[in-house]
Amino acid sequence: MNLEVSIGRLKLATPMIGASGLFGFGDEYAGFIDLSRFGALITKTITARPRQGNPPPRIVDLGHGLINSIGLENPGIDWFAGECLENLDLPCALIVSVGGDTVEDYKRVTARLAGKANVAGLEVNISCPNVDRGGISFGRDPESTAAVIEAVRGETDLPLIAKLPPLPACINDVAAAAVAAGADALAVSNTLPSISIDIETERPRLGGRTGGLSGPPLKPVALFLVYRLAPLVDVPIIGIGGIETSGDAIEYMLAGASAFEIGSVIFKWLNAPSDILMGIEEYMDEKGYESIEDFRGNALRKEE
Amino acid sequence: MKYCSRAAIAGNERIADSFYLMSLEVGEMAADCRPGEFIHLRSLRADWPYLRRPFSIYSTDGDDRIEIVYKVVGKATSMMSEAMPGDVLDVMGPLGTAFAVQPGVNHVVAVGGGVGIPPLVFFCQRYAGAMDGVDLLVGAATASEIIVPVSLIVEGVKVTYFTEDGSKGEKGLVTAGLDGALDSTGGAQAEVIACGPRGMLAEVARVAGERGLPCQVSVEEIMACGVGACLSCAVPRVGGGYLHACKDGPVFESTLIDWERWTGR
Repeated sequence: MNLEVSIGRLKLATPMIGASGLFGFGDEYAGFIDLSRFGALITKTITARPRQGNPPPRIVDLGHGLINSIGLENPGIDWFAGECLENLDLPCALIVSVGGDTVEDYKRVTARLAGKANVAGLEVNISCPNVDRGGISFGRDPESTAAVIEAVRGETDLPLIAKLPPLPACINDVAAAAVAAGADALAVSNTLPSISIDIETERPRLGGRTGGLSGPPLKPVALFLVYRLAPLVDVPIIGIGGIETSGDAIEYMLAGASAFEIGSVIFKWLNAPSDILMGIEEYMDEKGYESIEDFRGNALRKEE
Repeated sequence: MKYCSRAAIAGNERIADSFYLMSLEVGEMAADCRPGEFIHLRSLRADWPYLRRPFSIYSTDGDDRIEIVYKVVGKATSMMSEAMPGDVLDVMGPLGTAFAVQPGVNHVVAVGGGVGIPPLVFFCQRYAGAMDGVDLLVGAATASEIIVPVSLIVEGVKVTYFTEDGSKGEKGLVTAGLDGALDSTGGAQAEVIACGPRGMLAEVARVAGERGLPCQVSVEEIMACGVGACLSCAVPRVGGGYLHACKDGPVFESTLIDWERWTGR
């Protein structure tokens, strides 16, 4: 049995990827989680200049899921490409999440990562719901999506993943635009724009007022998007949204995803990564599958 | 060293109104715990809320057992109060920064409000012997919410109580006693430490700042990862930007915090 997957030119030891935002800038969870089980880890989104992020509170516990509004806090590309990367030694591939207010910002971050041997690929964040400019405002329509991806493509030969927002109305066009502009893969999807209101104070619970929904409530939505997009695009799709168990991850791959990202579950169960991989191995063993490709997309088949 | 382990509950008793003392068999983690650090725990129950909850460490036996004190304020703590000895929790720890005694300091004034008192008691037990004097100012809304357990009586620690309704000790806020305590430290090199509600911490920081005394505060903020990865637990930093309660804190030099932004004034 072989868990290796290919995301375009990016070869990963396992289909499990740590989602951007949850795993800091690389090794924050070292000592708590065996990162060698991951195919790759994606950093928090890095921007051209340091970003302070949104005022607290930044997270709401819904019980069944989370709403966050961090606001892309990060120390900026100069710090990341310098002391952070130089001191990082991960037992899995590192993918850098790239963000910005403007197309120029995305280009600048990408250019600073040129020649960094420990960067295996880039995930272009055109779908953050928690910033006024940039983020989701790019992934909302095909033209601005194409502009960002083209600009990043022009600065790097690294594998590029476009991380899309869960906006069903135009996601087909946005996905097609990202692929045409040079994306090697699509991550589907980012968090869902959302809000929680305190009925006592009569105010939004988050300092940033609105946020992004993650965890199990997002799963059927993101899974649907993967299912809809998989037959339409000819690049690999990475499924993301509410994966807590091996069954959740397998659903995404049956819907056509080549790999999957895990996120919020890490706050609950530190052993989720190893449990999920073990469950996938058991499933493959039971079904007699030798590789992820043996069952990927099986749910897309129409009955005769 | 950081640990994550399944910890059996050894004891879980109500010690005052809505306050409970929980004893946990955490294994080798217990040997590494310092005053100010916290554990991040989660029940294995399916109906537990999504996130772990952070709790300051109240005591350790240095071998395999630690204690926390918690107040029932919501669903998670309510479920904790129903837990029985033998039930198992998932515990990460010890996390965050500890109270540090600055070189040269020989008198500590510790100011605690409500559920902020236990880590200060841990501090007193660990460091009182090395000090010429320790004052512990204990604040609560009313006498029945005073949660200082008997084990608090540490040699060399002068304990003063304050209640808002005057039902025990002096009537008023605990911060009202800070000036007096600092005035009576004589020529000692004093330091202030504090743990409690945000408004209390801001007042303690202000008084210490006016006297030019070093001051460390232990803060509470809504938290997710506990290890500095998600950056949810933002605390406004002087000069702009944010500190993070889980990794930069929970114990901070009070001069690092932008109190005006954090208390929303």
